[in-house]
Amino acid sequence: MLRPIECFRCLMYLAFLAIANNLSAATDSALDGKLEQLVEAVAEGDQSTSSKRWMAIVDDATSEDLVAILTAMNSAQNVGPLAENWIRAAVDAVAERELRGSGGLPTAALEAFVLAEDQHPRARRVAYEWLLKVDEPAAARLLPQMLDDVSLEMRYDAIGSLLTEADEATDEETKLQKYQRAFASARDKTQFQQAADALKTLGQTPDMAGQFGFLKNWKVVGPFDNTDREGFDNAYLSPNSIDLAAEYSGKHGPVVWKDAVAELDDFDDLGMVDFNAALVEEKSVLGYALTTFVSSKAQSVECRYESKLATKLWINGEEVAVKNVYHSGGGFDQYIVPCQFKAGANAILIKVCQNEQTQPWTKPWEFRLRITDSLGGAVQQASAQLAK
Amino acid sequence: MHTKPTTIMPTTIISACLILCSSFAACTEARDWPMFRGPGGRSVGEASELPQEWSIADGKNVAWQADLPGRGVSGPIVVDGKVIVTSSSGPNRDRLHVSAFDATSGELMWHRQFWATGKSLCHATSANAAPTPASDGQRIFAFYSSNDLIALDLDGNLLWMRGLELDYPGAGNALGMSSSPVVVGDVVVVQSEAQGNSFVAAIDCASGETRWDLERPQASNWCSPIAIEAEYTIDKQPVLVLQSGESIGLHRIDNGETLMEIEADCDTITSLTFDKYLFAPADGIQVFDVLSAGLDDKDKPIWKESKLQPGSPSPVVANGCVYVINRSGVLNCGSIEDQNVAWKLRLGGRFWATPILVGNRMFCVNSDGKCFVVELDENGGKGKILAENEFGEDILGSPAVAENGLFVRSHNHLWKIAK
Repeated sequence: MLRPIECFRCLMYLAFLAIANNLSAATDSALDGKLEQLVEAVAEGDQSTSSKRWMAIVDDATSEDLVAILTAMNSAQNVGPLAENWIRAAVDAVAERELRGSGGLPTAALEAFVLAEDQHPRARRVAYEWLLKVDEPAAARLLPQMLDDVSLEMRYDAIGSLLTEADEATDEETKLQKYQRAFASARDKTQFQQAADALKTLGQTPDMAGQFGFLKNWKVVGPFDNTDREGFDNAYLSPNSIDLAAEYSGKHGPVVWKDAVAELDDFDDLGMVDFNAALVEEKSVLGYALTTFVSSKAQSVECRYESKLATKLWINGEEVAVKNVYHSGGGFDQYIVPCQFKAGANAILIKVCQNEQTQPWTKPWEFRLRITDSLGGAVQQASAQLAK
Repeated sequence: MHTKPTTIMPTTIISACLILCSSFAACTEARDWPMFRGPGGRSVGEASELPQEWSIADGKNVAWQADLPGRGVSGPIVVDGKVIVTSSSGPNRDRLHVSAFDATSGELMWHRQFWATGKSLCHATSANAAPTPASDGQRIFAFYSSNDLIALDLDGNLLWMRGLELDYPGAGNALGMSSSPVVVGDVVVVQSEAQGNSFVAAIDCASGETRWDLERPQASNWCSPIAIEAEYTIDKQPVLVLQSGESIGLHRIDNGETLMEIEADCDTITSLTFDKYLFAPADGIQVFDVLSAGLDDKDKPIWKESKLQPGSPSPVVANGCVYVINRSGVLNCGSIEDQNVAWKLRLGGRFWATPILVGNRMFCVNSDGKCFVVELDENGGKGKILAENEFGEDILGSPAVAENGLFVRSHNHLWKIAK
């Protein structure tokens, strides 16, 4: 039994297919393969030809061609972000001119395109933004369906709308349900925090670090010498064969692995592993942190981490990231590293290097790391038994 | 591909006989404001009658106000009757905007959007749209912290686009970049310096192809390049001036070759200014006479004044004086002839925007959005505050002067102040 919202989506999608088929026939003649030629020129790095083809598309296209241009984003994404931008700029130029000229855009076709989940998420977002310029109420119609959308921009607006509804709800049960829904689906840090804070005020204890996918339990070892930043390239241990019972030659003598737990309460530092607290507060040193992620299957994941310090990252002994940058800012998901996990236990090793700077803002010696899918959602670990 | 330039010591360019003009002008109309700090990067504008007082609240002397998307700390530019503004938006700051407004009416003429291809992280006070765009009069070159460089014609048609972080992996950082591009002849030059990767690239204005590039020091630097219209005895070309934490380099514009390297402990936020001399923010202000000093002394400062400590705004040079606003919000005037600090005037607040000079009036906008209109005494006496005007919003981008108006942008608004 389909729910009303699902019926609505089915109908809109069928409408899209019908419109798209009609438009396809129309645009085939109007644009005459120009979109493919533009993408080809961008792929070849031929800027001059790209521009000529872009202008030919913009000159020839009408508002009825917008869906065809949006659809070209699918082939553009295979070429890369520059090609996507060429397509996007064509959509904007045509829509802007047509809207100014006729005062209208093909709202039904645009709305159907927004709902077509097989279309490029960015193209759907562009269609949505142009739709709103001629049909502002479409936001209220569409956003409730997009809480888990693969377009993070659509999802962001949908979660934002849900949070507003939650804020305005008068009964506690409704508030709770809406905040829980937002907490589960949010991918933006600020929205996530807003939902988590609201849940706390409602007496809940949301697992913030877990929901984000931050890895909580680590083993750390150090300090090792990083005088003159030379430790960055010195291998104080072998990432391929780590013995947790081993003793290493540290900066001031023997060092061994110790336990360290990531920050779980303070939202600003959520997931942060603090070497200063776990080892020693010192400059020109480095440390290693090791943990295990138990994957239920072989899969592609993203290792997203943040540190204001120079770092190296290994997954199962393979070096996957090298960032020789000190105190040049940080930020949530500062580094996004695509990785391949095997089924079972996967070793994650990070080397974090502190330099010689003495300003107060250079004191932190820390990192945080989470395992996610391509949209930033936490990949949950399998049961520990699988690790054996 | 990097081209490592051959360093030519000052003594080897004796025969170069630099003839440096007091300003550099691209092929733009005189009334235009085509780049960061305007024509020649001197922060000096022309307008017949700018008001000294205005009110955003009641519209007094506000010709128009326009909405802007997202955030931006870049300055507006004015080209051929259009005001061009860059912005960035989105939860990940990766949506890039270029907006064009009619300078007379304030009507939005066109608006283009792109997705960033490089790092979009930046400090909370800044934005991906931090560099001020530049124009050669026919094209607009919009540059962003994410190292995306987009060329559009004046009607908003896309001419070419470069994702320079794709070409220079590791460039940029999580604090954000802010160096503004400069058009020199038929190339647009961008400077992007951070620990991960640093480069200067000269890119053909018409084709978007890289003519040449340079490896640069692997350290964070937010300064903007400037161009000096110059004449060699050999090929009469402008000179590109690049500032980094340890030196100032003068480079040939046709191949990037270093003509002169001046060792100086330069600031990495505040950009240098040229007006007959090079005024470098380095332990205060250091002034270099690269034109007429003794041949072995071009890299020695003719004046070094540690009491002239600029904050983030660049120095402004006019009427025989160098003006700097320090971190405490005090406007300092240094006399070039007397080589001393002539006077100080407390304005108040923190400044990011570089002040601009129109006639004998200096417009200084602090980060809280208060604009001090300061009258400068032609005889060198202490300047005085004529008016304080509130925009009511944070303002970090440097204003522009053109079309008989003062153009100021906050994150969300663009104003034309005019009678």
